Amino acid sequence: MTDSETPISRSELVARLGTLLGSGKVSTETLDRESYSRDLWPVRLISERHGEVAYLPDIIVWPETVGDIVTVLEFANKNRVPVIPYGAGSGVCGGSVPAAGGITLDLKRMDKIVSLDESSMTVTVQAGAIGQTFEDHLNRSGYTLGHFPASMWCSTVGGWLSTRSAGQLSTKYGKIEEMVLSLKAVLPTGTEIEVGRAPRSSTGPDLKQLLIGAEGTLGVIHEATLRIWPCPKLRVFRGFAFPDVPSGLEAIRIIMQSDLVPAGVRLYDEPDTTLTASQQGFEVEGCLLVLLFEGRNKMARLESELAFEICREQGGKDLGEAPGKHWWEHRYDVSFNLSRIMPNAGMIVDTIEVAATWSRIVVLYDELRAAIQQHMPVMAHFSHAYRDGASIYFSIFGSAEDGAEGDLYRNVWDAAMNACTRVGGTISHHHGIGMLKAAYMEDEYGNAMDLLRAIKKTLDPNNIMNPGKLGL
Amino acid sequence: MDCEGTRFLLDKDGLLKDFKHEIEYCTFCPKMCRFACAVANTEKRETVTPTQKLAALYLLGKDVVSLEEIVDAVYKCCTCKACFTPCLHEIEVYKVLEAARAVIVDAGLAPKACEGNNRLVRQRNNPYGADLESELRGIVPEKYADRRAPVVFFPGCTAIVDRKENVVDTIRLLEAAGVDFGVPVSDAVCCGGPSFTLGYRDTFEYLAKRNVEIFRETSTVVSGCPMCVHSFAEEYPQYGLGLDAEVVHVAPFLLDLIEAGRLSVREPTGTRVVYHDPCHLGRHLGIYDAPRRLIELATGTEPGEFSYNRQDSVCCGGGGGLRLTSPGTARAMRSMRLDQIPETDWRHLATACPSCERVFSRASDEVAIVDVVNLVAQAVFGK
Repeated sequence: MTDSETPISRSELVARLGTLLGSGKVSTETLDRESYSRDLWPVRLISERHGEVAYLPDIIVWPETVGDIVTVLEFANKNRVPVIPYGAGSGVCGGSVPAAGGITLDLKRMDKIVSLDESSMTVTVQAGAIGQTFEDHLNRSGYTLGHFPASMWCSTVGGWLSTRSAGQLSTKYGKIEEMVLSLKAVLPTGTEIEVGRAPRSSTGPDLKQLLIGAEGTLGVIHEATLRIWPCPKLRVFRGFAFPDVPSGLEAIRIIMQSDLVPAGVRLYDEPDTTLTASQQGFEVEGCLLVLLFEGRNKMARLESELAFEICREQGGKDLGEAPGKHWWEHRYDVSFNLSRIMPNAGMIVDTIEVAATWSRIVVLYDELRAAIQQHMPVMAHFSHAYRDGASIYFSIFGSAEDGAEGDLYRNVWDAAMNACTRVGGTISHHHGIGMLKAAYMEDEYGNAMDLLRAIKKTLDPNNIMNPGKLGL
Repeated sequence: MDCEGTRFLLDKDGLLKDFKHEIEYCTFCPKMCRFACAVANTEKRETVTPTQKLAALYLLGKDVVSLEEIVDAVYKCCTCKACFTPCLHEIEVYKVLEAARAVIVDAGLAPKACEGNNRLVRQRNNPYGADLESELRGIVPEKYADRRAPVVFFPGCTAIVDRKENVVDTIRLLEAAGVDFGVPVSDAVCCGGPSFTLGYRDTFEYLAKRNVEIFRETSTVVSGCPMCVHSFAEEYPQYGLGLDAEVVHVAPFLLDLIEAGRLSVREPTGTRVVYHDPCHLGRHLGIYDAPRRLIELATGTEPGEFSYNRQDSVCCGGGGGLRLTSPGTARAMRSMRLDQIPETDWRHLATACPSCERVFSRASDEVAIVDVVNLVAQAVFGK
């Protein structure tokens, strides 16, 4: 194990933080440091496969109170030690990987569901709550957050907020940033803040949105009040086959611009359709579109009928409810594929999620697909739809000589991100930036990146918060 | 105790080879069982998630960490098998960790508490250090003691030491149903399951051989302890010690007797109870309905349910030797489970595992802990 670049020694860190926080809240155990050195970023998994341990934190701290967080940040700011807020490490971009050692701040001891306001339909929850546990809690009271990322079983509320995550039913329930009524956070210098108190306010820029998606570079989010929904009374599933991607996308565009609000919308391109259909035991010619409407009985039925009518008018072949039900019942299965592929020498699997407006979406799909295919096989689906556009989720998998897969990985990402920027798409729809996409932020933001840097410099003058992320 | 058993030969290389699939699949998994692991949910520490525990073994194979450095993580498992429920790859993490513990024991690196417990087992043939024979003499009628019969009732150490009412009630019920049975008394020893799970395979094998002798002319072994049943059914065969006898937990055995008309409920007790699924009875043995049906027959009402029940049940903290190796974690798990009782007016918590009952009864004065056997006995014989 190697030492990091942290300016004060590890033994000094543990001694001083241990004294400040009390016993049982810090660790420098070898195995703990290894456990917190990784997330699901393939670069880190490849190094694990080669037996190379990289990006070790110097110390792991488990705060139990807001006061603990303040103590850690004040200490870190004074001593210029990096702090990496940590949820459950399910990210795929290296967002929680300690790029320069330092203190990994695991928020999971702050995982209480603080209160449920049934009148306002909001819940206040601490950042360390595990997604599925939190949703189970809401369900027992008859509510849902409506947030179902593929990482539902292995991610935290804080992770969702910090990566600006999107769930599989985001088209109806919104992305995480739309669910937030208010936030509590500690800024890098140790100042506690609370932002947001009403459904909306006209009091200047929305500071909640500054912290959401900041990947811990601007402070530590430790509590949020989120909007909730009643559990749906009815779910209506349907599958349609379209001749090709453009015709399927056109049907989605019309649905989204017809005041209809599907909970789930997924259009698979031909390769993804072939794979998905084969898993379900049937064949689909062209592209499979899966729709889910849910909510109150009459509303879900009416909306679905109108949407299905649009699909038929656009040339969709009705496949019944089976493809939709199958997707819903297996919606987290894809995450298990990592285990099948990543242990094998030279193998790579990853996903690239981008987005664009409707006028650019087909070009974005074509350009990225062509760019990626120069390096490895690719398939895609469109899974988050808006009135003005959609996201594309490319699945990539390939192999190289053992030891050369890192170069292949970087080449495919360079090709994809360059194509995305060229066409006018965004380089990340919901996975975030982390270390993986940091180098492409300048292309995405242009000179607006200076604004982000200026904000960072003001809030975090000593650059202690999760350095190396977001291109900061 | 004279351990004449065959030494368990699995070494580090053998462990990594035999469980290569499990270790690799878990290491590169996004922790899809993260939410289900009671130990990880209690400690809130990534290192003790099933994924990271097996990743520790992966790193051991890469010489990144030493065997000594992973001891703590390997023993942070209550063997509850909750991680198996969401796992598409159907990986039994606890089996890998139990095997890793055997390697750790063999290397002389076991936690001190485990070593002490193993010495106790070697001295007294049970993990409590109790004189099982004299404990049993006080509660088993002479006519059933050491009787050779088609059915052997194997109470298990925990019930003998801590839940004597379970033993007494079971004997009364078997007697009332006209079952031809006996109870090992003079040669009563632990099933070996606790030694197996802690990694003391030679101790386990010695105890297993003793029990196989006892069961030699038996057609059915009945036990109220799910861990004993699991050990007889799953672990003994791994050592070529599979029993010829059928092994059955007392809950389905009693249910069969009632449904066959050999036992009849005099009057349902009317007691409202909430039921806790023991990990070894539920996820390991697949028995969920029999205890619930017994409760319904005995009390006249369906049992209440925890918010997490059946295959999603949460460990009481009593499994996997956790109370020895991480007593604070085990206590916190117990509290977490008791906090999951859905309503505040439950006064009786029923389960079907003496170990769970032992754990819960040390934590709660507000809730009476009962075994389904106690409830059935009350309904059959009256209070």
